[in-house]
Amino acid sequence: MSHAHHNELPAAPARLSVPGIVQGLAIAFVLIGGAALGWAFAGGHAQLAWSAYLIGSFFALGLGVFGAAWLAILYLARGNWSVTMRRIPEAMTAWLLPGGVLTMAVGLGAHSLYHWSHADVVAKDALLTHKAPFLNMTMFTALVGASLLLWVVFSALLTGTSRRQDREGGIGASRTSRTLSAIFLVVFAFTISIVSFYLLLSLDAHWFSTMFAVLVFTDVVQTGTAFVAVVAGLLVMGGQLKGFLNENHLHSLGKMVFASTGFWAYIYFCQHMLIWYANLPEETVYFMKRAGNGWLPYLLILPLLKFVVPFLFLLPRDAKRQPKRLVALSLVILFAQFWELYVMVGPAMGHGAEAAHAHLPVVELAATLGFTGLFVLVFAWALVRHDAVPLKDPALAECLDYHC
Amino acid sequence: MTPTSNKGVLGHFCEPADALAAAAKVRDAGWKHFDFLTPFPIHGMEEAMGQKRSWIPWVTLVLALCGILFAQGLQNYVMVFDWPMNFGGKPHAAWPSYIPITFEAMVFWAALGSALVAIVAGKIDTIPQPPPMLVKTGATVDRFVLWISATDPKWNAAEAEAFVKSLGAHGVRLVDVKEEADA
Repeated sequence: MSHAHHNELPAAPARLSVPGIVQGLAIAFVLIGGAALGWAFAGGHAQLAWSAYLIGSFFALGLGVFGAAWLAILYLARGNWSVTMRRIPEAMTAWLLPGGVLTMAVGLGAHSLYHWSHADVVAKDALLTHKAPFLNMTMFTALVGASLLLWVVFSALLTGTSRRQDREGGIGASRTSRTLSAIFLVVFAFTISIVSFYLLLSLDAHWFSTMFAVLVFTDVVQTGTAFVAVVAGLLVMGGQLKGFLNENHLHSLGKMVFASTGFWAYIYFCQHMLIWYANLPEETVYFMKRAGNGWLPYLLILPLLKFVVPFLFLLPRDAKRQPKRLVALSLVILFAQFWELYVMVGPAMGHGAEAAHAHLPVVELAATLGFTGLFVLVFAWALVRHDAVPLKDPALAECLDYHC
Repeated sequence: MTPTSNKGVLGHFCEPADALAAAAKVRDAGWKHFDFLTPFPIHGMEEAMGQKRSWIPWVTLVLALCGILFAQGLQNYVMVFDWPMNFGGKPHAAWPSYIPITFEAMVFWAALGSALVAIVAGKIDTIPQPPPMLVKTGATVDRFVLWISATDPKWNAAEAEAFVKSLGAHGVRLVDVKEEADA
């Protein structure tokens, strides 16, 4: 199926460039986010500020670690259709170092976010005392820090191997990447669980869900593929990778977005149904909280934003092949991820009589935009630093001929 | 049954890319009743042959909706009207417990129905094929065989043969089963 021996390679593109408007928007987002967080911190709204910080930093962190996970998945599954868009996930991993540091700063706000971090509360609470060997600041810092460090190390190894292939070519680097990927996916399964347990699940330390880590994984995949789709769609629209990236590649990418959208609904419903079926007070508290204090509309909008709208609109073939439609729907999914994080974090703030009431997530959205802006700046910096396409990957010809 | 045609032109190519290029030329020359017999599916062949998008996805959509209706109807009828029972104090119309069956019925109806419709449609909605015993050119091994059927509206034996030769096909020959039987 190869026309490679009939046709010459398309002219190799130079390095990618990021339009000034994107950088301008990103800087504006950073300023908005910084201003909102600054107002909340200065105004003494510590809980609001830290919950917004957590939502924003986790949103961006998920995009960063998805870059590494997706590289690993594609190397292992030999997803050769994605060779020409490999620079996108590679550049996403650049966030892991600065983003990891920023995420670790959540520990500074632990007293506002996590009631298990208050010694007096733990002393009076049998369950929290029981969980104290796991839920304490030392373990929080050590385990989350180690997980983020592993992500940084494996990203550096994966992108480093890709750089080596850019210089030397050959199949050796591809084999090394596959071995690294196999190890990383096991590491990733454990570390994403640890990070999601500490940062999000422990917000409500009495509650537990066996579906939680896989739900966060699903979020990361859905949001990450959507981000890649936005970038790839814009690259196709801008004509920067003419001959290397076309609607067939977008189609496969769109299928990934579509599949992860379906998978999200499956996992979120599983979590809901298991809790609904067993009907145990210690489990139903999660949805009881999100049904009271004005949170119900926020909870009900979530499946619409995250599943119904993207699913129905991504169903037609052309929605995955036309860059404009794919980009628009991917942006909806990115917003939906913010919404889900708000529904995860917001209602978990405060307990009993002090439980948080629902409010329009203005500061939260601003903070998320701020982190997204920072993420985009780092991403853009990393994206333009290397050749636009891995020209020496042996699988390149197969990717150029890809037909979907 | 797949229709066959006793008359037509056969020719073969050795490379899938050549077959793809030839298909586009046959399409552009205005031939309608032609087909490629290839050892494996060639990506892009549908476009090169000028085939329209399949209507099977619409069948899948309708069957999926039917599956949803069926599962919802059955469960609501049985659990609410026909034989209501108390499960853990939950309401009779407990929608979360209906979702898995609804999902599975949707997939089952859509997948099985689409497969059956595709098989049946493949039998009736196709152009007349060459007599099977005459395709000795390795269409199941390493040859990409072009067939233009004499049922084509613009059929002209000499013109068709010359055209297929002009495409660079190998082993071009006119097929006429009656003559072959006589020979």
